[in-house]
Parts: sequence; C-alpha cells; structure tokens
Amino acid sequence: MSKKQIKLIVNGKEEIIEVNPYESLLKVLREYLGLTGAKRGCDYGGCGVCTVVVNGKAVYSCMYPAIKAEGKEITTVEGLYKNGKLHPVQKAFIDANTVQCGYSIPGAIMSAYALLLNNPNPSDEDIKEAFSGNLCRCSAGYYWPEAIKLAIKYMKQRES
Amino acid sequence: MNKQALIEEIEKQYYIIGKPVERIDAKPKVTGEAIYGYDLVFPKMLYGKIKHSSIPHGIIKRIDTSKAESLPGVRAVITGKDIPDHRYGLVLFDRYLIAKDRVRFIGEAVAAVAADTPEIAEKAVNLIEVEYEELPAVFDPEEAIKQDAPILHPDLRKYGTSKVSAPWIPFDMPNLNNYRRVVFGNVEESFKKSDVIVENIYETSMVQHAHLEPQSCVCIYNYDDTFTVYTSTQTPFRLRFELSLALNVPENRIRVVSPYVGGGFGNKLTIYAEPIACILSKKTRRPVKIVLTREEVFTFTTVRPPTRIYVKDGASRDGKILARQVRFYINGGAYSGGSGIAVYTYLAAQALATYKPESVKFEAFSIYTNLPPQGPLRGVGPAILDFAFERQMDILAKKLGLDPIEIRLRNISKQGEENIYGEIVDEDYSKVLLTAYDALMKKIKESNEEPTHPWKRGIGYALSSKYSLAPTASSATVKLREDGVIEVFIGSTEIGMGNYTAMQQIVAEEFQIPMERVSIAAAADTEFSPFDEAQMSSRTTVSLGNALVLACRKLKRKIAEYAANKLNEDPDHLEVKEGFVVSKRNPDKKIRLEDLFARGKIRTGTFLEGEGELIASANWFIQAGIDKETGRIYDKYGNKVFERVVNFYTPTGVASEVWVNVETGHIKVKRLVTVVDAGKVINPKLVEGQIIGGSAMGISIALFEGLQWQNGYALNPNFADYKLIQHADLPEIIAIATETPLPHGPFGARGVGEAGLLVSDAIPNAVSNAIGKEVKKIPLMPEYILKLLAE
Repeated sequence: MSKKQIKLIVNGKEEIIEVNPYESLLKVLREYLGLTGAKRGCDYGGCGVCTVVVNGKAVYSCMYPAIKAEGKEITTVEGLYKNGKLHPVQKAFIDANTVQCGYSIPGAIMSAYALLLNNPNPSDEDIKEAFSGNLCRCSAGYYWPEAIKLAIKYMKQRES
Repeated sequence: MNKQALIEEIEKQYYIIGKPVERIDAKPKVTGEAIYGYDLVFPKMLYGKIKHSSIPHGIIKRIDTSKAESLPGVRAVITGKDIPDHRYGLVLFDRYLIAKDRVRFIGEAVAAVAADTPEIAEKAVNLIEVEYEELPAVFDPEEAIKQDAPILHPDLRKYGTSKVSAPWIPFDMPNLNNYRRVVFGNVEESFKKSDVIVENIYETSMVQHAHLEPQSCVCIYNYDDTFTVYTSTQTPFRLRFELSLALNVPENRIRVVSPYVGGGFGNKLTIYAEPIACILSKKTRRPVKIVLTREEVFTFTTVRPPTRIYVKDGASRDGKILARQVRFYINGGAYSGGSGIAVYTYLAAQALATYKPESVKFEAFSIYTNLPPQGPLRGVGPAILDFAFERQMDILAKKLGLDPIEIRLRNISKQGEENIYGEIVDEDYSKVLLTAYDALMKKIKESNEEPTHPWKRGIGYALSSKYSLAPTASSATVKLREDGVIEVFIGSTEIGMGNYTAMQQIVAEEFQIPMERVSIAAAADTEFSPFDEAQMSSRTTVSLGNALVLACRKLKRKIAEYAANKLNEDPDHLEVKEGFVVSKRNPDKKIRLEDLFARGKIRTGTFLEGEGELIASANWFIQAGIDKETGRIYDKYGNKVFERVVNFYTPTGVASEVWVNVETGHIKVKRLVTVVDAGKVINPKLVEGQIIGGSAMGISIALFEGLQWQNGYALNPNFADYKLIQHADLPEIIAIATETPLPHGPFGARGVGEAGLLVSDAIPNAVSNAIGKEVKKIPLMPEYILKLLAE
C-alpha cells in the first residue's frame, strides 16, 4: 500500500503529511504530529478517550481514517489552550472537580466543547447524549454536567 | 498523644489542611500536557508485541518462529528458551515471564516480537506457530480442589516463596495455593445457644479494573548492563523487585520510572510486559515499547477473582450474632499474580472487623484454576465478603423482626474495645451508618416522587471497615532550596487520587507557606526517590503523610539550628513559619528562608556557609501481623504476638434507594449516600472525588460487571460487551466525610481511596427489599431478578 499525501488543518494550523490509507486520525495526531492530548484506550470507539472535534463534530479519532479528514478542521485538547489561557471548558473541568487520573479528561473536554459549539444552552438530556461515548473509571463522569454548566457561565462572562 | 491533646490539635486553626485547594495536576491534565507512560517515545525505539496462549491448559510441543523472523522489519523474536530459568511472583514464585513448557490460561505469554512498527510486530506475532498438547482444564475453585482435578502446578511444593509472607498450604488439597484461618471463640457452642440460624451461599463475578490507560512500558537496556524501565505502575519499588526476580538481575541494576498513571485500581501492582520488553531490548540494544491492547488488559492482566462464600450465622432472639462461620473460595486463576493469593486470603478477612460476634470461624481458600490470575481491585476482597455479610444482616433482621439499622448497631465493634482480632477499635461505626441513614431519609422526605407500577422502591444499607494493610513503610525527603521553596522527594506515583496535591498541602501546612512555595520533585523514580511501598490499600495519606510530617519537623529543627548563629538566638526559641525563621521571644528577630543562603561575590550562585545541606529525611513504619493458627494478634494460649493486624480501618456506611422494574428486572439506583470516616479531611475536593469514584464503581460492580468465560475463553473482553457504568447511569450521590480522628494518622487523617466500593454491597440489600426476595449473587442482571421474582 502506498502512502498518500493529505492536508489537515489541526488547531488552526495547516499540516501536510503522508499517511497510510489504513492509519487512524488518532495515530496521525499522536505519532506524526506529536499531539498526545488525545489518548488511546481501546481502538474501537468503546471508551472515548480519543475524542477530537472534526469540522465542529465530536468523533472517535481511533476509528476515523486520517484520509477522511483531508481538508478538514480538527481541534484537539491542545488547541483549546491558547496564549497561556485555559479555554472556559478547560477551566470548568478543573473547577467542577472532574480531574482524577485525567486519562478520560481530554476526550470528555472535546465532547463538551463540541456540544457547546452546536448548542449553547443544552438540556440535561443533551448533556447525557453528548457524553454517551465517554467512559471514565475514576468517577464515571459524575461531575461532567456540572462542568458544562460552569463552562456556559464562564463563556458568558468572557463575552460580557 | 493523649486524646485531649489530639482533639486540641484537630481543632486548632489549620493553615491549609482541610481546604479545597486545586489539584496540582489539574492544569496539565485538562490541557493535554500531562505525559503518561503511553505517550513516551524514544529515539530508535522498537515496538514489542506478545504472542499469547490460545488454549487454557497444555504443554507446548513446538514453537516455530522462522516465518516471523524472516519478516522485514522484525528485529527480534523470543520464546521461553530466551528467558532466565527463574520463576517470579510476590509471595509464591510460580510463573515464568514467558511460558517455557506449559501454559495455564489463555492470555499467558508464549513468545514476543520486537519490530520497527507496531503493524509489523503484530503481523510477526501472527506468523509464529505454536503446537500444543492440550491438558484437561478446570475453571471452578470447588471443582479444582476435588481429588481427581487437573493439577496446574505439580511442582508447587518446590517453588520458591517470599521469606516474609510465604503462603500457607496446611492441607493436601489439589490446587490450593494459600489458606487463612480466623478462630475466635467456639462456634460449635455458640450455634447450640442460637435462636435462629441463617445459612446461605453467595457468589461474586470476575471484575476487571478497566483503567482507561492500558499498561504501557518502554524498557531500555543500557551500555552498562542496567535496565531503565518507564512504565505505568502504582508501585515502582515493588515492580523493581519483581523484575529482578523475573530477569534474574539484581535490583540495583534496574531503574523504574513512572510518569502520570491513567488509573490503576490495583491492576498496576505487578509486572506484565516489562520483563519481556527488557529482554527484547537487551537482544536488540534498542528501546522497546510494549502497549497492551484493551483485549490484553482484559485477558492477560489480573482480575478481581470470582468467589463463592458459604456463610452460616447463629443469632439470639434479640439480634446478637453468636456464631459466624465462613468458608471463602477464591477462584485464583493460573498464577499467584499481583500478590492476589496473599492478599485475598489474608486481607479479605478484615471485613470481619466491623462486627463482633461471640465467636467466629473463618477459612479462606485460594485455588488455582485455568483463568487469569487474581489481583487486588480497590481493596482485596472486603467488598466481596461484605456483600455476603451485609446480606446476612438483612436476612437475620427480617427473620427476627428487627430493623436493619438496629441489628447492625447491636453487633458493631465498639470504640475502645477489642475487635475479633484483638485490636483496639479506634473507629466509630455507628456514626457512619447513622449519618448515611439520616441523610437518605431527609432526601426521600424532601422528594415527593413515588414509584408507580411496574416500579417498586427498595431501601438498603451496608456498613463496613475498609482496612489498610500493614506492615508498611514510606520514606520522604524535604529540602530547603536557595529560593526558599521546600522541595519534596517522594516515591509515590500519581494514579489519580490526588496524593501529590495532598502531600504538598501537608508540607505547606508544616511550614505555613502557600502551595506554590512547595515543589514536588523527582517523583516515582527508583534511582532518586525515597522508598514508598505502593499506591494501594488506601495507605498513602497515612503512611507517606506521616513520613512527610516527620521529615518536615526534622528539617525545621535543622533550619532553626542553622539560623541560630545568624540571629544570635537559641534554636529552641526559634520557629520556622510563613517563609521565615523567627524568635518566639522577640518577633523582630527574624530572617527570610532565602536569606539563610549567602550570595557569591560575582553573583554566580547562592550557597550555605557550612557543611551539609538543609535537607531531612524520615521513614514512617508500622508493624503488624497475626498468629497463623488463630488468625488473630493473640496465639491460642492467649499471648499477644502483635499489636495490630492492619494499619487502620476506614469505617464506611452506605444508604441506597433503588427502584426495580418487576416486569423487566431492570434496576435504577435513585439515591445514594456514602459516608466515609476520613479521620481528618486533608482536602475536601479530593476526598469527595474518591467517595464519588468508589461509589460509581460500586454501582457498576453491583449492577453490570462480569467478565464471562466459556471453557477458558473470554466472551466479553471489550468495552462493547463488558458493561461499565457511564455518566447517564449515575444517580445523585451524596458523599459525606465524617471526622473521627485516627490517633496515628497525620493530623488524625485516614485513607479514603477504596472505601466507597462498599456501595456494591448496599444495592443488593435495596433490591432484595424492593422485590421481597433474597439476592445471593452479583451482578444483579435483569434475568437474575426476573428469575427470583418468578420463584
């Protein structure tokens, strides 16, 4: 199988890379671009620690072929942290006490980020739906809905 | 310290203890900057892959690695022939790091490959051909001890054992690899006096830890014949010991380094791929990384073993338990593994400490079967035994017409008296139970939500004493840096519980300085860090916390002595606080910590004027043990042989409300209160996180979790078929920490990491209460509930 050159826009920056057709977006992010924020936990969309945002939608990057991401905008957890400032979602995840071992956190943050991108005032059901693909063994995501609510508050504060 | 002085110490205004300080690892974890073992990459690194046995029990007749070796990109292939003729283990040395002649469970390593890419390594592993002669296998512990059962380890009696905690195999029972007994009073006589007898058999399932970061290691063979091992572990020092056995290399030639760990829960307490990667690295002279797949985590690592528990209780009419007789069969798997055989037999029995029957006879049997080896999981079995004991309490209460809370209160081990082991009870069991009860009743009263058909409400409680193991020790070193910052050296890994933050708080408290003036350096590197036994058994707060307090006090004295000359004051009258050394007699006489250091003339550095550094180390140790025959601190003649069996207990009380759908068998946990006695809360956010986390895992184990096997083959080793609790399954959880000081805890604190798992034992009681039938096994699958309802 021959490698194919693709262009990705990762965290706002254009990246041109050669990938094998079978390689996942997760592998490309972690191994080609050194972005280890998206984690690897199962390889089949079972745990959500690899969640990133592609063109505004949360996806399992372990099951997303890199070549399918050609030309698309990809946001990883590293992309939220700009100029030494935490994104409101990141700050909310800290303040809501979500962090323990931290391995599920980047994926959960990206699910939360995608939710608020598309739906600034989510209902409790929307929040459940948004995290339906994320596992967390330390606390089963107990504090995540609280983090969403805090993030909404911080975003409003930022705008005003 | 006497009680009054202790209370005064607890009540004085703390500088930072008890405050909800932000975790020091929170920011790196939300930005993706925290580096885990899984993320590590080294120049010239190769990727290793393990070939696992495809049968549960058999003899390896032939292994052909030629096709794998000729695959381009493959740098090394190893089999049992390439490894030292040394078995390893923690208490029983029964396992080769790669099977030499015989395999005993599916998942056991039979060969391994190192290659340029993970894809080539995987391809190469599939090209290795192994021919087996299958042997009869056994999967049930009680089948495995029958006289005609297949024997897994014919040479068991010849195996090496740990000198300090060798397993006890007092009978000639096939496949028995450890045994523990507790004998208190005379159960035969107590049964004769009993008005009611309740006898039942309980079963628990095989549970996997399902930590989200799969095991990952990079092992490097160095030019000076040493190994450097970067790995995701809860215990760098124990890992080094086990590696030294498996590789037959002295411990001083192995360095273990552990970055952030993505969860462990007891699974990361033993070696898995590390020795294999070490051998591959030695062969190729390149760093070798091995990461486990999720399926390998399920089938190649340790599990909480399935168990069967026979309990017979005799009680008087007024609800006092007179006799408790227990036989605990542990399905131990193929090897002693991560010390599972020691801990399940030895420590699970500590669940007996909550209550004080007139007499107890307890026996635990750890038994080899052709399944994955047993390992601890958020404790080593109290939550398993408590399932049986807490069910018994409810069944007894029902028989006697007593309230479930009342029967528990009538039987608890009372503060200041001896428990069944002979230890003096420091714990207040009634407080946690009553606090849980009150909080749940208040919640229910506030809500006017009532179940309607087909839903039925049930309320259930559980009470327990999560032990923390001993003997154990932790060391810590603290140093005053020239910028006035206190640098902390500890050997504990951060696996998620927030121990780095809590330890930093303890140092900040001792010096009365802000968190940012304390730096935790060089954590978890066996080359530089002081010894710490492990991140396990809820032990870090007490053990390492005490070591740090001792080290800080030594350092403060050293600083006072050094400052005495500069301030022209007696060191006895100097105190170190808020970044200064200050005279207690004359507060104007003071010096900033950084000003204790002189500056070089041309500003090339700062240094102390004298010998030695302002550095101090301390070790905290607690002794414990039992008389083997009685299982208590007294021998059969009544002589006291030890003061304690364990380090401490963490009393925990749970009250739960469930709704059961009597048409589908579906269970909803509606409300949950988990009360853990933290002794003294160091950081309320961290304590709450641990209680919530343990509670969530407890619901998951009670309702969903079971790794299923058929003839030794795993049926559901993946997240699609092994159900874990998710955020949408969670009820509101009320987490409460009570504070009954632990006399030997730092600031009175206890460990709280594992206690919340007791939730798995309250839910079965609530479900039984809802459906009017007695559940006797977990998980509570809908089909099981429907079967009970149909009876």
